[in-house]
Amino acid sequence: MTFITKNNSIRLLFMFILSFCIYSCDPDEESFSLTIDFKHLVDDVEVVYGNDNLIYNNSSNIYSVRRLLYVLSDITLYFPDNTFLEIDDFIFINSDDSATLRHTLYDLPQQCSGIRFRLGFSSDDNIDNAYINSPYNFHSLMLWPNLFGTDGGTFQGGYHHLKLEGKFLVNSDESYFYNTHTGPINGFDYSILYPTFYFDSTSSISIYMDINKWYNNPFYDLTSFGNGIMDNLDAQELLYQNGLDIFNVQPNA
Amino acid sequence: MRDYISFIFFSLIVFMILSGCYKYNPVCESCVEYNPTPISLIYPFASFPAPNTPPWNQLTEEGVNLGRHLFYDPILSSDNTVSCASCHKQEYAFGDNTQYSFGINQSLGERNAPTIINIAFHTAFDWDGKSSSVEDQASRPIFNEIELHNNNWSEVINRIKMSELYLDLFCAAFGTSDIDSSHVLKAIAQFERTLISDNSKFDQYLRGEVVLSPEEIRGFNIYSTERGDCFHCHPIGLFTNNMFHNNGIDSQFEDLGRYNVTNNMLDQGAFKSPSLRNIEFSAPYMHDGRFETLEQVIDHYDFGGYDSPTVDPLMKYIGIGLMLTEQEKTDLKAFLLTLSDESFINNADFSNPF
Ligand code: HEC
Ligand code: HEC
Repeated sequence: MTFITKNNSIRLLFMFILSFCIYSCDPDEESFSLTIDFKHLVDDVEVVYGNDNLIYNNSSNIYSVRRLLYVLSDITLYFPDNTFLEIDDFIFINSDDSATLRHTLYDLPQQCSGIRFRLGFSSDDNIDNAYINSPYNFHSLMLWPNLFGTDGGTFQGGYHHLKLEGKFLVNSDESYFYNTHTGPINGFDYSILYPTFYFDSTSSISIYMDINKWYNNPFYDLTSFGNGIMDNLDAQELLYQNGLDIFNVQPNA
Repeated sequence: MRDYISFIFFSLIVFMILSGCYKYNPVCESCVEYNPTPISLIYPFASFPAPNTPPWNQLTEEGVNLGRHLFYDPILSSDNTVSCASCHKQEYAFGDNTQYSFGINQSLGERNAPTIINIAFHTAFDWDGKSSSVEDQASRPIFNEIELHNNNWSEVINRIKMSELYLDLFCAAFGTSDIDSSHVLKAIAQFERTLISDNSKFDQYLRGEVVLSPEEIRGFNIYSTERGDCFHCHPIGLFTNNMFHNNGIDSQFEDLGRYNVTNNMLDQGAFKSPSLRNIEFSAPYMHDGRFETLEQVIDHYDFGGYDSPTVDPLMKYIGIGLMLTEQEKTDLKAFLLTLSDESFINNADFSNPF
């Protein structure tokens, strides 16, 4: 029992510090990260949330954006040597909560040079109440109702893919709210898996969404679809088509 | 070496005795056997998130019991007349049945007393969310001049310390009779977190134990689709989304609500979406208790609400209205009544212990 002598414990402490240094300085153990900023543009200008900034789309609707919430899942990162890494977690973006507008992925083996993701959840992942403990109040904000077979099976539960909300003008002194909410209905999941976006390897990128594209190609007329489209197949189909080219990824300077 | 160890051991015991409650209070014999029983919140099958219980205030039987006493005891008010339960009454789902509630000296509050239901799972408290934890919230009424109106903690603590009952209860709950403010708040918060309602007819329906009537089912469909669109702000489960919205009850605001906390212009006139659980019991409704009946609330949403620069886009029928038929209104109300949980308002564990 002479282990805990003063000398010995100093030696122990020293060894501990030394090994900690060696461990954390080891170049083989170096890990990388990827920081993603989420930016939302209308014709190359960052959107200002509120009811005052008016936007024109191809269907000659004039609208404003009050808030935007969406999910990116099935995220895969690509590296210069053609290897890739699948990320388990999804990312939730909410324009009302600045903490969600930047997301960092840690412990990557190299710097990334490509990313692939899905807007919303695939049917396999879009499960009722599956993400109840997800941060940023995700569950309450994105829940898609489950009508338990009481509504002809239209709503099977799960989560919205995207919620884009604001006002649109019908004429200069008449305006209404629109709720562009996408999600699964009638057995179609309507999530969008994008092709890989490649870029010069980096630790920091921005994912840009061009909001106007939701309404431009093909035309989507807010006046005819208006406010409640969660169980409108025609509207969901059009939005799906429009959503195919809304994203753009750039490395940050 | 053995000397060395026994020295440490001995000094530890001396230290414990010196710093323990024994030093302060001879009444506190039970503290020597301080051994509280941990409890965990039980809500099988309910789609609630993990409770927001801080690691430093885990629930114990003794803590909850103390909190329950404090909640019902006018000892917390400066003139020994008003308790938390004066405004938060179990029979009204821990809300009040009057538009505003009386605090001490018959002074009237400025907002309707909200219900306290499942707040272990809420993330912000009070109509404007100015309190960020249950513990933090509990200190507000203690000093509010209309509510319990104390000037400082020592007044409160001195009254409590004069009571034999509380010396025992604090000993059992926290192992000390050197009562301080944090113990008071922790205990009240522990009790409030046990106020769980998960046994309404609708919960039983989700568990497959009962069926809903055709009327209730139709109401559920109105509620949970964009026909009525209640679920975006009052989602199934907690029946609150823990967020703040302007639901169009005014076009100009006397009470700026959430804006008072955030200074964000878009938050003017926004209030916490209240839980609709036990809504049958908690009339009158809204932050100012302006509506006396659920019919009036449904008529408000049916009308669509008043426009203003901050009204929430989810109130998308503004200027249009839901245009519900009389039958649909009855159906919607029938569904809201399935959220009543008799076992909650009659639960003996939540009742007045005195
Ligand atoms: C005079 C009546 C009155 C008394 C007494 C009173 N309250 Fe309240 N309580 C209110 C009112 C009114 C509000 C809403 C306050 C606001 O929004 O600013 C409130 C809000 C709350 C909330 C927030 C609920 C939610 O869902 O956000 C809790 C919890 C609460 N009180 C607990 C207590 C406790 C604990 C006590 C005793 C220490 C107490 N109250 C004493 C009237 C009262
Ligand atoms: C935009 C979000 C939103 C929508 C949509 C919404 N509510 Fe509300 N609801 C609120 C808010 C916020 C309050 C509190 C407002 C206040 O006190 O000023 C509230 C209050 C209530 C109350 C009073 C609760 C209480 O304890 O005082 C009832 C009942 C209610 N809503 C039912 C409904 C029903 C039924 C629907 C669908 C027809 C609905 N709500 C749609 C946000 C919403």
